[in-house]
Amino acid sequence: MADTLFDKKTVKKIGEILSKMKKKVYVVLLRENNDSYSDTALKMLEELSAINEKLKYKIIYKDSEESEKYNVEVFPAFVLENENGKNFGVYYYGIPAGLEFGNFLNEVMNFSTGPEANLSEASLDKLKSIDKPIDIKVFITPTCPHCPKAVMVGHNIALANENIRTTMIEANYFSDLSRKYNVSSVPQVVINENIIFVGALPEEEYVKKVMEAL
Amino acid sequence: MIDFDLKSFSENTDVEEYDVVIIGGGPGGITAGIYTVQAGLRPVVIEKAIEGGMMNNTELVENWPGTNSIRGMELSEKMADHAKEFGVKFIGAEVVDVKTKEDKKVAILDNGKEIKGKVLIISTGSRPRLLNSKGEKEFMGKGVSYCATCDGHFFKDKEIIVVGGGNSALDEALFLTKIVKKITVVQNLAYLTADKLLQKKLSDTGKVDYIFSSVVKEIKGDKFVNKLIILNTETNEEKELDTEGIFVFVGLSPNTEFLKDKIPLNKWGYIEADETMETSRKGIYAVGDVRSKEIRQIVTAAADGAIAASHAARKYF
Ligand SMILES: Cc1cc2nc3c(=O)[nH]c(=O)nc-3n(C[C@H](O)[C@H](O)[C@H](O)COP(=O)(O)OP(=O)(O)OC[C@H]3O[C@@H](n4cnc5c(N)ncnc54)[C@H](O)[C@@H]3O)c2cc1C
Repeated sequence: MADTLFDKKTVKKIGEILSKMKKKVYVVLLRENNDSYSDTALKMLEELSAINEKLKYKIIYKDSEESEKYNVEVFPAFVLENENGKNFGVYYYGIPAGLEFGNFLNEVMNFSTGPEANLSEASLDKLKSIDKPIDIKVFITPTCPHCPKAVMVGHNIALANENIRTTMIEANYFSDLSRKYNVSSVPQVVINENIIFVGALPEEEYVKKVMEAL
Repeated sequence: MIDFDLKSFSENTDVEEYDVVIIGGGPGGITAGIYTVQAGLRPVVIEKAIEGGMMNNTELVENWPGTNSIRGMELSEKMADHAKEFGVKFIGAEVVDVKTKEDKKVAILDNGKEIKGKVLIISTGSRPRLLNSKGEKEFMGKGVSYCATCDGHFFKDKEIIVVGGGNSALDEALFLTKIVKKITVVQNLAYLTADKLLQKKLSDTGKVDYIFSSVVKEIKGDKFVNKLIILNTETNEEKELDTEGIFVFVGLSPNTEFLKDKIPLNKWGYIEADETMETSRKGIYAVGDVRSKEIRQIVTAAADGAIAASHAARKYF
């Protein structure tokens, strides 16, 4: 077998983290045929699920009927689902590698016990009232220290209301998308195409931006 | 090669009371955590971004004793792992306010939670300072950047400007030479203030030009930045430079906004502390780059952290 993505030491640490999983979690991998980045994404999921079998994955190919349901613009993409296969709007375009990986595990752990929107009461109250679709894009690079926070809060916001979907986007890899949204600093957050900000805002201000997009 | 870093994982914890609450998980905060455990106490480190702090933005650290040369991200991970193995708890959140009056100090998090402790150690470090010139805010995120490791790849094969001539500016410029086509360094003084060795490394890349004695007047562009207007302070001549991106590294300013009116700050916003790292508020300590001091380095931040934790353990427990 070729080299593994995770070295022994990391496997051990991941094992300790995942050993506390309660329920199964599905990572849906939406992938392209003959695409090495999609292959790497799959390899990552294979290795993770070998560490703890509660972490499951499903593979869905681009252009299949199933794929349409998830409505993703680029491949590979990940979508987190709970043990019943319910989609909560937690999306990733590209592999949550580098500094994003720890937060990806935070979210897997959250799905294995809930998932719960880990936000303040005040934020939850505001977000509850949203009754039309909100799309949040969080552009990141794997080497950006402030990016995981922007993704974490964004994904928790998605968990607070079924109308909200939040996508982490690997901005180096999906350079066409980055160009389309004029990304030159990360994290850059785009809400419903019209609200744009750069930087990891604290929760209250982040939620305020989401409400502005309505 | 793709790599996976666990630093942004933070274990869920419902514990809301500790002996020592440390705000900021850079080398100062992490070391304070380790020494607190060593003193038999329970510390928590609250970090809003990534454990390791500013070290994560440093490509190579070459002056941390015991390691000739190590990636900043790797040193961060090693320090954080060490602390976790010792039993230091970490919480991933931003502290937005503190209560300092009561016997128990309280850190208020952006997710609404409150974390209490008898002693508070502030190690929030600093962040890049703005130029405060016309057009800067407008083009932030549109070609004006403050983090080479974060944003460098958006400027692949482009001709860019680095503003600043100190150690961090040249450090970041050196990292950028691997990505961009050409760099023009604009420095306000007539000379660079960075270490000689670093200057030489940068010049050896053959990708860098220098403009001295020039200050930034304005940043211009359309949708994206495309010009930097500078003023030569010796000749008083203005010059317009075409550019495809601007990286600004003109020093740092302390992360202390949330502490205004809570503890005394000096006029630049830094926290004053005595040689035990305690501030004039009993039970509140300041360590690392956020403290008013001469030398801001990893090793001095770590030293501050050790002193604060040891002193607090003796005085308050
Ligand atoms: C480009 C560059 C290169 C450098 N190279 C070197 C080098 O080679 N060697 C060397 O010794 N030093 C180097 N330094 C300096 C060194 O990085 C710093 O001196 C050191 O990191 C300071 O440590 P600290 O713990 O005080 O703060 P930081 O490392 O800045 O950490 C502070 C932490 O606090 C967090 N924080 C801030 N506010 C809050 C809040 N409200 N709530 C929660 N968390 C918060 C931040 O996210 C951050 O993680 C370099 C600096 C730069 C900019």
